[in-house]
Amino acid sequence: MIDGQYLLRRIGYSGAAFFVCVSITFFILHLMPGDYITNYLLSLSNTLPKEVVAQFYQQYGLDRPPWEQYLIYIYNILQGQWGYSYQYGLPVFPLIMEKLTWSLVILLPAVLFGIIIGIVLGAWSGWRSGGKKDLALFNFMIVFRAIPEFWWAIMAVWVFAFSLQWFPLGGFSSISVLDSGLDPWDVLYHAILPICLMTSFVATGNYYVMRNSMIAVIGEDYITTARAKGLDEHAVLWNHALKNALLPMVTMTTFQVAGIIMGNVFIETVFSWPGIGLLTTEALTMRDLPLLEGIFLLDALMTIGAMLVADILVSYLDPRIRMGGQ
Amino acid sequence: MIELTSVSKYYSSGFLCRKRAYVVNDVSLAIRKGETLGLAGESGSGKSTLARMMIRLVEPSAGRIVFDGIDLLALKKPALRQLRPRMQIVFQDPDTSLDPRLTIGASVAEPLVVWQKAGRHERDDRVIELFGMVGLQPELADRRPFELSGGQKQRAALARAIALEPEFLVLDEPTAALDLSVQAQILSLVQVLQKRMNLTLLFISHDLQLIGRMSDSMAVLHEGRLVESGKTDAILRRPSDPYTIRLLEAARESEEWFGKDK
Amino acid sequence: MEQKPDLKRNRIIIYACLCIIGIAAICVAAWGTGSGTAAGSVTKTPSTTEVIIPEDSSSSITYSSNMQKGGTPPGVYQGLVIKDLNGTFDPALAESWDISADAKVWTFHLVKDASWSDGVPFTCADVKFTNDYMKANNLTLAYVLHDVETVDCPDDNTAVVTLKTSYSGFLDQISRQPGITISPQHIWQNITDPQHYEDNQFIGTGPFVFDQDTAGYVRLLRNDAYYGKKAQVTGVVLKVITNPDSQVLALKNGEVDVVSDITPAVAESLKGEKNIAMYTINDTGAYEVAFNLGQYPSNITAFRKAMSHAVNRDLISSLFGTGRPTETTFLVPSLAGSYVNPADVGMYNYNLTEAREILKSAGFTWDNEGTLLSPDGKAVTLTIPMNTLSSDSNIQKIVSVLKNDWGTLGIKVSTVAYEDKKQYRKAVGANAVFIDSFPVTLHDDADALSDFAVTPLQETNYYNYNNARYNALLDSIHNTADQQAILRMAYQLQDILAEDIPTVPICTSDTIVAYRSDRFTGWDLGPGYYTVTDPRVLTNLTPVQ
Ligand SMILES: Nc1ncnc2c1ncn2[C@@H]1O[C@H](COP(=O)(O)OP(=O)(O)OP(=O)(O)O)[C@@H](O)[C@H]1O
Ligand SMILES: [Mg+2]
Repeated sequence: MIDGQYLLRRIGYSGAAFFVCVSITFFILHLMPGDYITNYLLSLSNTLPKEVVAQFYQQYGLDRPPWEQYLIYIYNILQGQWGYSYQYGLPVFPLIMEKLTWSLVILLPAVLFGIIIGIVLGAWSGWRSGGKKDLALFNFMIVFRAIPEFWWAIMAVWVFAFSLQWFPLGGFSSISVLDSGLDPWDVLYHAILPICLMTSFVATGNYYVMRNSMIAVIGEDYITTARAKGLDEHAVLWNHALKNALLPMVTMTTFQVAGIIMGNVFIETVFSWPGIGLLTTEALTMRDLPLLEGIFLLDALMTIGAMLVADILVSYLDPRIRMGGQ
Repeated sequence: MIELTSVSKYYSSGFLCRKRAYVVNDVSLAIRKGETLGLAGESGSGKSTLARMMIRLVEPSAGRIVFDGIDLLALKKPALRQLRPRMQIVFQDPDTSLDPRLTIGASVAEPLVVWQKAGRHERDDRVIELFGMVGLQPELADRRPFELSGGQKQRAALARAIALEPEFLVLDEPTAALDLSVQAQILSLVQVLQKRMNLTLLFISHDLQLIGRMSDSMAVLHEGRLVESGKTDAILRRPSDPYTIRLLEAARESEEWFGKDK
Repeated sequence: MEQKPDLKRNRIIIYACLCIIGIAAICVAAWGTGSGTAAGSVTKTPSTTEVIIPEDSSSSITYSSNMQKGGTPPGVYQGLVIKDLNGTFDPALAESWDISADAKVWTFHLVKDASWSDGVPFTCADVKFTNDYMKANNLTLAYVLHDVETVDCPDDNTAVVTLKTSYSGFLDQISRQPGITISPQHIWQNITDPQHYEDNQFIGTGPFVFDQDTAGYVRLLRNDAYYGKKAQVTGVVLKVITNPDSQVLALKNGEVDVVSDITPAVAESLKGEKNIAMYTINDTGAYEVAFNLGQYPSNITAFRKAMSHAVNRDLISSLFGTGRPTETTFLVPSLAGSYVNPADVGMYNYNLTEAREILKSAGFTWDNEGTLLSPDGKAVTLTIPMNTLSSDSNIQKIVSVLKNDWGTLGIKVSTVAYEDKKQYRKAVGANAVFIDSFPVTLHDDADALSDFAVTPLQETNYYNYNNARYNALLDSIHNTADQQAILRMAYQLQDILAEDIPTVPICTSDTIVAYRSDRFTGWDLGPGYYTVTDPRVLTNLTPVQ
């Protein structure tokens, strides 16, 4: 349940939170040791005339005091100006959007399938908790999770792409793109392996939460009550256990969906997938501040948006939570 | 009506050398049709577990349960399900025994839906009737459990339990979480219902006074074992087991305590 | 009222089924088209003579513009001259050049029939424009042209560059990485905001023409109108493969033709692999133990001298697995060629006893526990700053050898890691010893000696070394174009360095390259080519018939 006035207030708070987020990111990024000029110029030459260096600082506005840079930054954001990447010399927003699109090709299906698979397996496992099959699955998940994602990715490439040659080694298109243009089927073919990997990573995370939630719910008396009512197991599961166990998942999955925006560096590195994760790491090492600010700005937007959505969703789904009620 | 022979329940624990923790140990009991059996025992003595086993909501580890001539433990799941309407339970904790997502109207109506006891409109009428029987205002039907008081919830749980007109009803400390006046209301309600529907009752409580008032015969559990059973009057007058004696003494003492206070 | 949940449930089940069927269908379809594509990509059509080269990162090949970031993509843009590994300069857009006696006026005779890939002829105006435009717009690379006063064009094929001060190393400056490539005036004169201009034509004069940049591939085609030697391959495809392991796998199954900079371990595993050959580009990196003369105890000459005998080059070099020990003041003697002082070969030999003797005679002592004490009785401890950003494991190896040897001399050596270059530089200024590593392009001729100088342009150096005689000599070198005089003075500079020891060269490292021998007859195309994308390598590449 949610009332309109509360919703308005909530949106107001979100705006404030966004502003605080953006400010904090700005200062953290600017307090990071090192800067683009030093990083870039030092890679070119060990000995640079001082005035040349000073001129670059001035050119990038890095010679101004931080608060002045901050005011300029906020002013620009409010104008919808996200600035230009130092490294690429291109406007930040289209650059991020391009990389984000590629990340989404993998992450959107992966997160959706991952959530669904995780929930289904977790629910099943929790429903059967203590049984042999549950324990087998549970232990498998633990082992799967204990080994780093990077290793799985490398192994997957080794086995499925190199040895079996079922999938390409990486990239997002065959070389034929140069002659015949981008083929969506070809991109999909390149995306399948990373999607499968990502799906399994997302699924394991959701599996644990769902299993725990399920176990907690089936311990409740109302499940026993439902059995006492004479509902068959199927109905107990669907009408009572599942629906209640799903509630904690709503928030979690909303945030996962929002988290897509950060991409996944491991997958992107292993598969040479030009996504936002790679862009972020690269921008971090180069101290490409406008680009980093843009990425974190978008991230703050998504996260805060997700919080709002999760709140509203939960308040509709969970009658116990009433928003704005006294 | 229902007869237990050497029923036990244990949980295994420990990873390598499994230990058995007996929660209910070798209990034999019988309740005749229309009668009330009072089950007493301190907290953790296994009362709830025993009660749930009686209607096979918890699988016994060993023993035999015969319900109205049917061997309950031999039944397959679908057959057991067919038997469900004839035996019902009201749980100890009204907060958790109702699905928090459903309105209590829906909760009460659900067994009617499952067993297709009534058409859609009759069903609504029946829910209102049941609400009346347990003394709940019909307006409350659209509320969810968290919007009700503990007493109202317990009444709803009772309404739900009698909706299918069971022959055997387990009341697991139905009033433990409630204050005295509500307790009295609910108990007299139960007695009225029992008469009207010719119910066989298992009444669980750690309060010997209540058991004395409600039951024809009684049994006392101590650490999962049956330490006493027989006619209620007889036991309360002349308890044979030292544990029962202690229970009775404790009950009397607290009565004096409260008496002095007032 | 109670019928609804049932209906809803049914509906959900139906939706779920539809979704699953949909997903399955997509997968099956993808499988079908996929396996088709896979077969196509693995078996290359033999008529293709494009060379496919992996790139580590997409950003390295998709710079917004040549003006801002220098000569990418490879082979498209050209400078006036191009440098060889052996220290000489090959002609590029300049056929030949004359230097005034004071090394201040440089006259370049430009090639006559060069033209931009859009057909516009290349003239001196483009050279002049590049200089003027970069400076006027504060482009990052303009610093390379800092010394240039003016560029004049007496005629279309002559460019006269006048420097602010005499500088004999000018050719090196404009051709070493990143160098200056010439940009087309007719394209850039209309662009008012070059910092943020996104070039997608890349009009150059080189042996290759930019074709397209799509989906992780950059394709260059052979420039059939090129004025010089035309390439044999029809094109070059750069393919982004961000993971080095995948690059090797791609080489193995033939998706790329060459992989550069593989580790000695990977090279070992590739040995005996069918259709894969390897070669080594010698001395592409170099390492030194550098002293900060502004810090105790490196300010004591005897200490530095002693330490110069306590660097076990042979051991370190063998730990590297590639490269060779350096026994000259020049870090990379093979590259500096005749600039190397013939007198100082074999200097700084590794001998801990000698080191001990030098320390002793300079007044250093040892306490009971064997800790080295300076003449004024202080224990000698050293902290070596490390830069974690450069994932160069060789530096770790150097430090571990030093820790061991210097420990036996009674010096406690510790390390501090810095994640950031700026902080690292700061730490270098605050500690006595640091380990320096150079890509070859920074350290290959007489100009490398200016790293130790103090000049009006360079008020200090990393070694805090300041020797008036040295500075004066270097100034004279910059002021003359007389090659013999330059050599003589370069030897003198090296004598001074051998005396003062601001640094102890250790050894070099190599780059190992693996390539498909079933596709190309060879990659090791003569001396002077140090990357697999060097335009001279790409033009000389001969496909296997
Ligand atoms: N699933 C289980 N696993 C292990 N032990 C259990 C389980 N369920 C109950 N027990 C244990 O069995 C014992 C008896 O529990 P039970 O709920 O039957 O007691 P009770 O007599 O109803 O107590 P109370 O008066 O507090 O309701 C307790 O010690 C409890 O910890
Ligand atoms: Mg109990």
